[in-house]
Amino acid sequence: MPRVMLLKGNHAAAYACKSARVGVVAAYPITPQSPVVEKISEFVESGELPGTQFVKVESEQSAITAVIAASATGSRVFTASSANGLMYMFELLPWAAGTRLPIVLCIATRAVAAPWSVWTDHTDAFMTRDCGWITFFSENNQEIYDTVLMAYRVAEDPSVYLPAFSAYDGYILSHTQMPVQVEDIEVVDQFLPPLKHHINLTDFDNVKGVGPVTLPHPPDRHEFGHAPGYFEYKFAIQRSLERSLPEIKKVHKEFCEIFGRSYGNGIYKTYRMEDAEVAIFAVMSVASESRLAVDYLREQGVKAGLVSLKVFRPFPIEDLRKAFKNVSNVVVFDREIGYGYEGVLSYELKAALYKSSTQPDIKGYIVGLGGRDITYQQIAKGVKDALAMESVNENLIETDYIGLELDKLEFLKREGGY
Amino acid sequence: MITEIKVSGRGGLGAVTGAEILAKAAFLSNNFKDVTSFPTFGTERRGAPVHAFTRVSTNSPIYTRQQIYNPDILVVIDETILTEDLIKSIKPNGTFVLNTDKCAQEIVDLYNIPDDKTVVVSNITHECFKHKLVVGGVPMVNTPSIALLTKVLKGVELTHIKEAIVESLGESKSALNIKVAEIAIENIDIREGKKIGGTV
Repeated sequence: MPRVMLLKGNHAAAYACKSARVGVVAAYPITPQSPVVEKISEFVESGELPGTQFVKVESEQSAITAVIAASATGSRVFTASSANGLMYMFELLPWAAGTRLPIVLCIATRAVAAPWSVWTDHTDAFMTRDCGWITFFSENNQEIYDTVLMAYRVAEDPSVYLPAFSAYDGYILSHTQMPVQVEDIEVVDQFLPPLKHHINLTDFDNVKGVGPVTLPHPPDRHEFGHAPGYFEYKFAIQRSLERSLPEIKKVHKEFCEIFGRSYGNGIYKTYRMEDAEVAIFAVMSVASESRLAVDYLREQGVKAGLVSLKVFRPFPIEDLRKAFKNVSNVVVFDREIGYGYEGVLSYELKAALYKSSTQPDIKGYIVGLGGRDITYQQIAKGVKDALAMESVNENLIETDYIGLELDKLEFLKREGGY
Repeated sequence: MITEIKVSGRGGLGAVTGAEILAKAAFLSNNFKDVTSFPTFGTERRGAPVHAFTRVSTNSPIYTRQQIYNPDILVVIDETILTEDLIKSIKPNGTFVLNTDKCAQEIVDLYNIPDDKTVVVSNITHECFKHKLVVGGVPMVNTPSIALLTKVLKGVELTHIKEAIVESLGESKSALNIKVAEIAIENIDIREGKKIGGTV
């Protein structure tokens, strides 16, 4: 029988790994990620995960290397990290994608140092953007459990064969208890059958090279034909990412049919968008809090709605054009900064809607860096302020912030402001 | 309806575990559609003020992820962290639960608690020392403090609190926690608030 348990977000991810019967897990502790792998090690220790190897390592770089190696042997693998731990994995992240390994990595998001902060924002998850991985976001702990299962299905599909991040807010989800339905493992087995990997290093009749050295042009191997060059390998990753969107939708639909839970169309979720004139665009906890902002704004006569992005890479351009086709304004709340430009979601949405039939005004705010609390009242005020801006286009250029407390800093007052 | 509960104490007294046991009790009762529980996140230190939050909802999923600024119920498990702001933060017609050696009326007079607030007190620290519910010299006041809520939070009964304590702490540690929790409830003193109209 499926069992509803009160779980923290990290433990929801650990239970998903158990349901997925992961083969190899390696991770190095960092706040706020650590409880994910602590829980998995408990499962291994108590014999609840008899088929799982837990590899103890001395760093995050070794953790990702261990799961890359294990994945290359055909095992279903898992790791997790946050912020600077994830940064320490960085060299190996494009390696995992380039080698086409279906690794799932949970990011319990955390602000990236310096200055040091253990609290949450989304900077770390967004910094992995160009590594060739699929990126999923979650708004609550049930979604974390469900997304890990779906991420394996998508990553392991032969048309995809790419690693996937499953990101969720550090502390705000990772350390918050919520009811989570943990599914019957036999039913999960039907949804997520054992991995049939394209690279099986134990299959000596069908040996394949992993991570070859490539050349600028496809080398001529005579009777074996031409081998791909570096450019062709990279093209293949991009093509697979582009084509993974329908696969994600298909997997999500199947998940919904088996388990009865759905997350929009698997790519993005909406709330009260049917007749909305202004849309909030946000992810993870910011999106969840924004649901209350939508209700609050509607009580005040503002026809607001929410689009919560679930898949950030590949960036779902066609879906987003459809999602925003009936609104005149979009207000974006980014819990990170694309330094030197603006919030990443904000500028990526602008690019996605470039030359779309209805180009809404898009206003971006930076919120909640380094764990500063975000309230629906602040989000609602941001929307109203954006709607009141006389010249939206001018204001679009400058980055605005909600929740900055510069007024508390005495030295700024002495020096006449920032 | 969502009820917001804030548990305040000092690092080491178990405010976070208390809030989690409360959430678990509410969850196990099947009287709520959704529950969430989380601490003020960060680098907890023994002795420093610690706040933890629990939300329970009778009818709808809980979407809010912000901290609780104005609780319906404030539970203070260590009187020495009390501040004027903390008391003022309680919602109109809200409830103030305190571990103290004073009676409810004394607390009302001492801290100028407005008439609309229900005040619930019990001398839990004393009972912890008396019955040796003490770890490393620190009285474990969290579980008995949470048990007081069975008198003011509809839907959470003592049986649910007991069940949650056993699930969270294990069989061996639970017996003494439950015993002191029951004594804390026996010793309870309540000043009922006078309902005032209007909303916040």
